[in-house]
Amino acid sequence: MKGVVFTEFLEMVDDKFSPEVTERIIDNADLASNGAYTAVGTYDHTELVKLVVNLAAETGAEVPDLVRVFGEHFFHRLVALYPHFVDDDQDVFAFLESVENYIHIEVRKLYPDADLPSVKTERPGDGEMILMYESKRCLADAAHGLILGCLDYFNVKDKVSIDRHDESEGKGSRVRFKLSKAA
Amino acid sequence: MDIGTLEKRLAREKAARCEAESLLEAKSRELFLSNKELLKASQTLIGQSQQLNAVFDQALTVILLTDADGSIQRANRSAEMTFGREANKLKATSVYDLLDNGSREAAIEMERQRDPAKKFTTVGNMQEMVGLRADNTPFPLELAVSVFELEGKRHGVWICRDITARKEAEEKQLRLEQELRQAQKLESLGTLASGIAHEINTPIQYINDNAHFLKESFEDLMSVFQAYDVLLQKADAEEQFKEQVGAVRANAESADVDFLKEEIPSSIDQTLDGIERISKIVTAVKEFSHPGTTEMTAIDMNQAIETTLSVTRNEWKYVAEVETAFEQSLPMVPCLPGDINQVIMNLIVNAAHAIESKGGDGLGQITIKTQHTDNNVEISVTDTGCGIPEANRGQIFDPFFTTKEVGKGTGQGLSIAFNIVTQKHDGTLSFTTEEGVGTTFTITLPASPAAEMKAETKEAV
Repeated sequence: MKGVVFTEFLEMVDDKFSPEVTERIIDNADLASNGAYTAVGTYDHTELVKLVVNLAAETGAEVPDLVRVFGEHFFHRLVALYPHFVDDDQDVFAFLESVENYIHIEVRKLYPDADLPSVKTERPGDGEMILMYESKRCLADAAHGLILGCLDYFNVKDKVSIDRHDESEGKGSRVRFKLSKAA
Repeated sequence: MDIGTLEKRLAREKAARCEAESLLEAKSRELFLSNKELLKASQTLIGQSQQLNAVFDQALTVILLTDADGSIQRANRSAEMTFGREANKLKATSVYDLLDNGSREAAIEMERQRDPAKKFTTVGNMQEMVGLRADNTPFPLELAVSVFELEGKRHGVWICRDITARKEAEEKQLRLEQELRQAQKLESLGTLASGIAHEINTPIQYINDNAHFLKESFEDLMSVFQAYDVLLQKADAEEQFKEQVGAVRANAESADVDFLKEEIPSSIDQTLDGIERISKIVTAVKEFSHPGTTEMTAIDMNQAIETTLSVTRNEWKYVAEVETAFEQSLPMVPCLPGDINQVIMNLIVNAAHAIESKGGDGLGQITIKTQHTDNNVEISVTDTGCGIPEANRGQIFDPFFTTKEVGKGTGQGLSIAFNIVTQKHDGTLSFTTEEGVGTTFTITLPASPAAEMKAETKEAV
């Protein structure tokens, strides 16, 4: 997993909790990297899982909730870091369609070894979109958070509902998100 | 943030920076190696591309690359030269426009035979077709078409070869074979004619002797007849011989003796004339079919022309009258008699054909003159025929050039004559002509001993 995910996660913990909490979850996670991340590096994704689990223990919050919050936060950070990927005049569904067909292609140009999730979309009807997330890392909650961040960025969070259905027996490796715009 | 936390963060940031630097170095190295490989690959590709371009441009065969519609996308130098069109003009051309109508249909048919399932197909073998140069001149070519697909688009590769030279060589060989067969036939006929001439000579000789004998005997008989006439006149005066005289006169009248006395001498003279002509023809045939030598020999040119006129009489007697104007003091001319006979014969026969070709009611005129100028002997053959059109004047000495109808000429006569006169005798063969008026061919042969020596040396080499 790319280092930017780790650096942004730790930034979020700093912001939303405190630097002391960040240091504690690093100490308690017993990480191979010792929590020394650089955005351009690549690290084992299980380190993120350990950090989240320790953050849940530290704060008493649920892991899925924390991951979803991180996803939402991460979307805004990605927009700040890579603004050229987002066209403000774009429709939210059009943006989500561009994730697989444009953004992931551009990411692979920068990081050919990046192991990205599959994000396939289809539009079954007017105002509807099916987004199918698939990844062996089982980070459907992060995907959910990213979608929420996206809806927030496009100011349609109140106008689009998300119906989530796990098609991998709760593992979170293959999850179907149905997005419906309010009539 | 307390000091402990700050120290931890500092330590982590240092470690992260070291890792980032290592990553940067690794990426820099990867980039360098990747660039190096790319450069190498690009140089290899440039080399291969240059090699392919050189092969494409230097190929002796025509190579045309077309799109699916047959529009030429690329043409090599051989294509420019063969079709006589510049590369940029070829590019805008449909490949089918480089063929004549018949070949165009055949080429389209060739492409139809392609198996659409195959991405690369060579359609059939090389086929002979007719190409068109820039000025629409047709020429023979061999064509093979390959079809291939690249990035979902169909392309064609046309490989052509101009086979004009090969065709000409084949035609020339065929004509030479025909010529050889004809020459062998003529040689056989010459041998046969020579044999017949020899056989005819003996009976002619005794017919001639007998005719002379009859002529002389009849002159003797005429003196006897004159004595009989005197006797008859005297007997007329005697009554006692009246009956016998009457009977003799009746017999004489019945036999038409007066007529016989008048006509028999001229009949014998005509017979002798005929025999002399037969004898002359037989001698000419013998001389012509066996000129006697292949070495330079000094000959009486006037006599040689007379002989050739006799032999060719059948060719000209129905279309022309022949007039000769020979210089009587013409020196002997060193030459190859058989070859010179052939040259004169070709010119006489051509003159007759030219007169025949012009048409008209009366007979034309062939005039043959000989004269001596400085160290040369000139022989001119003039006809009142159709003349030579301006467009053909540059080609009449070319091998196989003929305007005569099929079966009447092979186009070799003047070419052979030119070769014999200029190459074998160091002479010249020229002509003046006016369309519709006639043509004069003039042969100039060296008459000096020096020329003879030169010709002999050439023959020996």
